Amino acid sequence: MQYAVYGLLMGCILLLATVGFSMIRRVEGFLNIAHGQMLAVGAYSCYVFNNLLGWGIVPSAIAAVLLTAILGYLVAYTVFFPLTGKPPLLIAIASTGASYVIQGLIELIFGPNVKQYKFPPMRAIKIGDLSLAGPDQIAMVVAAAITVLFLHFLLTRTETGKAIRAMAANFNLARIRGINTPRMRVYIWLIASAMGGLAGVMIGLISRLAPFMGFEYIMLIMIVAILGGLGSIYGAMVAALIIGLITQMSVMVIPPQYSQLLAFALIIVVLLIRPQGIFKEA
Amino acid sequence: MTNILLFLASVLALMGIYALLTLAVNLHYGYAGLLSFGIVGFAAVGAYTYAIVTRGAPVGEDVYLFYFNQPWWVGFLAAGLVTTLFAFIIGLPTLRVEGDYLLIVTFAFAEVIQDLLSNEGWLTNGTRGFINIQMPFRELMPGRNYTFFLAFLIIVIVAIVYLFSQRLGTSPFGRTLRAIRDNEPATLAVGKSVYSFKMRTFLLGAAICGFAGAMYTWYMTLAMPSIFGMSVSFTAWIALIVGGQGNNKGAIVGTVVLLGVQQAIKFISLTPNMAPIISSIQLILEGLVLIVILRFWPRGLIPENSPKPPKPAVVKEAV
Repeated sequence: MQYAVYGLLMGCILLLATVGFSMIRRVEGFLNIAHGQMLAVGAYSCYVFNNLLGWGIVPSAIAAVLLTAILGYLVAYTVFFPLTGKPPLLIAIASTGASYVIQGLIELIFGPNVKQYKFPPMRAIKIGDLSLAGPDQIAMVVAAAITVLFLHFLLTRTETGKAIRAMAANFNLARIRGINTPRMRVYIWLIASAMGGLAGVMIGLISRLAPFMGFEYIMLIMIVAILGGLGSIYGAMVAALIIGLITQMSVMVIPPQYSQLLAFALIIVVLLIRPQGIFKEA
Repeated sequence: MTNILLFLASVLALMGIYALLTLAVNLHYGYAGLLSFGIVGFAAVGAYTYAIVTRGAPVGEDVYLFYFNQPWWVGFLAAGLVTTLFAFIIGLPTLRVEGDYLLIVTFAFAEVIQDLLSNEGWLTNGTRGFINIQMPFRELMPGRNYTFFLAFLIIVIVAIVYLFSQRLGTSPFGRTLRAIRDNEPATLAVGKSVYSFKMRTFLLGAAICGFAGAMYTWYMTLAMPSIFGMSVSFTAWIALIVGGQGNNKGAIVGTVVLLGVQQAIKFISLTPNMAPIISSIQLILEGLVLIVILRFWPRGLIPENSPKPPKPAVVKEAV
């Protein structure tokens, strides 16, 4: 049962992280390796508010998410926007460079040691003998669900969302039809980075902070993105839950050090039999 | 004096090994436009293949089961062969689809290989790794002089690979690769099997990485999971971007410049409490170099010089 809870949590974290990654892949057309660092930025800025300024965990999480959104946009503004129109693989390499810079800065400011939030472990709610999830874990799942619902309504019900979807389908056509693409790009980077930051805070809550966490998670993010169909936002959501549950639940059957290998094998198989992912890009 | 020479020789050997990796990246990305972050994964496979094939029976706390006790050249060839096999498995699903998939899968491959190396003690001796690697002609060259010989040997191998890549770049094969990189549909339209060309290039580059991995074990005199981190891949990538994509001279120059700076930085950071700060500054600088070069000099220090098409044979018309 505990594994299922962790799987669900992991799934939610990957979901938040991957949706942003997929949105950027869809609209901007390149793989943003630096997206993993948004997780680290979120986690560490929450650490600043929580441990160094002594705020409660919820306000510091919110502040961290906002800060990450702004920083993510700044990275895009300085690094990626000038490269628009270059081959996507070249921009992907540039994003690796950005990833290096962010990781180096985090290491420089916070030191190479592992950190943790000031946050007491909460006791799990019990029903009879069965120990369920702790209130913090439930809160995290709820937060992820609310974010996803918010994104869903944003994309389907609002003008902005429709404009973003139009840009994802055909960037130039959207521009010709009078959609304010520069402004929409700002929104996209803000939303994607904010979700990455939230995922980072959640990682910080269930495990620990380390300067290399961005690099650690970008691989899982990319695996989830492939499984869901590169660039597909809803596919990424389903794939994130699948990968999260599989990697955590498999611990019951096989030793934990193989969960990464399992995810890798899954990707090879998916690419062989269904390269477009579980959902087609849509 | 000898100490300085020794240091220079070992730096030269390291540059040679990285030059091979950068040449492989150039073959993949510079020529064929394949973005592979798996360089270090292939190097690790090559290194461990070499170690296992040339290995004697386990002693002490060693836990590995397989050893073949072969001379070094068997191990060296096996390193290339096994790496090619791994590359084939990776290439099979990924080279048919868009380039993004290759990036992701090779990235994951490199990470997974490093995991496997630490976890599969029966094959790789776990995190202890293999020490006392068998080295070529070690018995002829006792003592410290061996470092000079090793540097010389590595440079000879780099020269061979360089000439080979250079030749390949100007051959019809190389021209086809450039065509694929620049306009894939057009290349397909003139009847080239894009997949087959990509696959052959991918295997070739991986084999070079495998050899480089085996040579890395000579240089380090050991094979451990921790020396095959992702940073090795990125160093080769940065070297290529700095030097200039699509050109072997650029790959060599980029490697010499980048490794030279890295070693100089290592030389400065003498006090132990400075080390973490220096290493994070190095990360920042490398990232900045990558971003700035891609933005302002996307062709690198030495721009690519595409070979001219061969002159069509002049047919003398009969009068």
